[in-house]
Amino acid sequence: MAITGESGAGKSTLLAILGGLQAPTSGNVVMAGFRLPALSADGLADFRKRTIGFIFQAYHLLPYLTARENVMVPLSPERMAPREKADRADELLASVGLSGKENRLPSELSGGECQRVAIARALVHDPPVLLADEPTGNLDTATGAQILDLFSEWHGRGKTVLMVTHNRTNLSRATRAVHLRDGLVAEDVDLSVTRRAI
Amino acid sequence: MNIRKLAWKNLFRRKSRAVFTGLGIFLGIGTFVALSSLTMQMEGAVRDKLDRFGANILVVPRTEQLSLGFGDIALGGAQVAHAKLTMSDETAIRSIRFRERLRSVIPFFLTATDASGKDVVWMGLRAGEISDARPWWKVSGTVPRGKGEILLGSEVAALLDKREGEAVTSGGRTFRVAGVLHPTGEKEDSMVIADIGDVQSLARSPGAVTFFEVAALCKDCPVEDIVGQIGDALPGARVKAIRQVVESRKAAVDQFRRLGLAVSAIVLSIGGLMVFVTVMGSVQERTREIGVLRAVGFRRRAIVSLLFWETGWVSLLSATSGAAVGMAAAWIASPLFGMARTEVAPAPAILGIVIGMALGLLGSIPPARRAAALSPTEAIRAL
Repeated sequence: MAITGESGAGKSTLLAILGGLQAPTSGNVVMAGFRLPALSADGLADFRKRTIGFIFQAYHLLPYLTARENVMVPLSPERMAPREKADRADELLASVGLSGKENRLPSELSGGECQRVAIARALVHDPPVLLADEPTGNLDTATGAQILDLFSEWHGRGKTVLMVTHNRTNLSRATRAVHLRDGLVAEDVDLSVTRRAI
Repeated sequence: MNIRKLAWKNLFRRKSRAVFTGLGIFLGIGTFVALSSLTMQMEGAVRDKLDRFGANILVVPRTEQLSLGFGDIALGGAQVAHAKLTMSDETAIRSIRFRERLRSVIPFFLTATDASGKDVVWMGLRAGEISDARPWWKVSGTVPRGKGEILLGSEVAALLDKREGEAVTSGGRTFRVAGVLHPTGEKEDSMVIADIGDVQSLARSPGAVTFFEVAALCKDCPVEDIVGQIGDALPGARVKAIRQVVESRKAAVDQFRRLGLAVSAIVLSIGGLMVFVTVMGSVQERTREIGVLRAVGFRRRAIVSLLFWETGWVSLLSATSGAAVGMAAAWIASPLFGMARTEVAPAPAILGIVIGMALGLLGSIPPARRAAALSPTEAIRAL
């Protein structure tokens, strides 16, 4: 699903609310069966861990950790064998095409590679929902297309991908587009139907 | 990857901040360990001296001051002893309940008699106990090893013009000068020191004792109880604890300990404040990072744990290095305080490391709470 809108329309706020990072000022939010306003701070943390994978425009990798370690960060509080964590990270890095670059620092990776690491990190808990805020905003067209390919692949594996975007190319890859204006849904289009009609 | 490793890696990312955070603890613990070690060494030295030199109880005959006069004209007075001490009283002293606390019981006998024609005071004690009773004496030659040998005080040696190996006569007997005592500034400079049996026989007072020196003081010894028990065992004797020297030395060490604790407390407080300020600054700087960690599912406790581990690593490293430097400083400074460079006790260093860790963790509690309470909304704004 692509969420579009002008600056200030509320796209990022919507993403933060859906991810349990921000509470709505009114109304209710039900996400993957959880009533988010009813959850405690730790309940929201558990919800994010099990349900949500965040992907940010600026990647927000920890610069002092290698690609593998960045992917393992969400597993840090978990009681798992270090080898098991590393294997899981390597597996995910391989799935986003970063085999052989596990020990590189973010400063040694290109923007597209950093975003792939961020995607692998978002997937490490195998969440059903990925929330991406302008995931290709810092990337060139070709690299952005590769990231979208990855999203399509994970969508094909049954995951929901919500993506805030300004980019028309990104919009063309979505199955559904919601356009926000002044905090309200101005338009909600099922692009798969449109595409089939074309 | 776990929180411990994550914290460790973050330290290396911000080396200068980590060094600054640890500096306060390093200085505080270094000061604490150095001063504590010196205090312990001083206490040990005092205790050691007391144990080694330590006759601290004196047993003398009980006397009464008898005033003499004619009408209202005073003619001075005389000391009248209730009972004389004898060698057999040693057995009574050694039979008290705290007898195992008695390190030594040494009988002395004093008499004034001639030595090669000059009147001098003779001091007798068992020849084999002279070195134990007066370990600080410096002697040219040797101390008497048995009967027939004498040690001359420096003034007596000059008076009699005798040296080591020469002979001194008294009471029809000839004594060999085994050694000459270096000047001590005390009364023994004007005495002849000999085996107690020889002095008793010169005075024709076999078995008589002028006083006993009892060494009993050691750490936490109940000296007052021992004094009471000896007094009970020897009703005709007056038993006195020699407290002044002990107390003045202990008072000096106690003052130094209090000063050391005060200085350490001030430096440690500053160290704790430095931890608080730097960790709080770190939390402010890392709002974005904390936001990412919250976004990927870190609970509040995990954030607190991360900060505690970071401060814990810094505290451990800085407290350990501070303790090592403090021990080295105490070792180097020992001679300045009149002590030998003996092995520095590990106890202050271990305590210092524990205090350093506790201080670091205490100083990081408010910042950790601040980080844990950081609203995800605030954190997400930084993303």
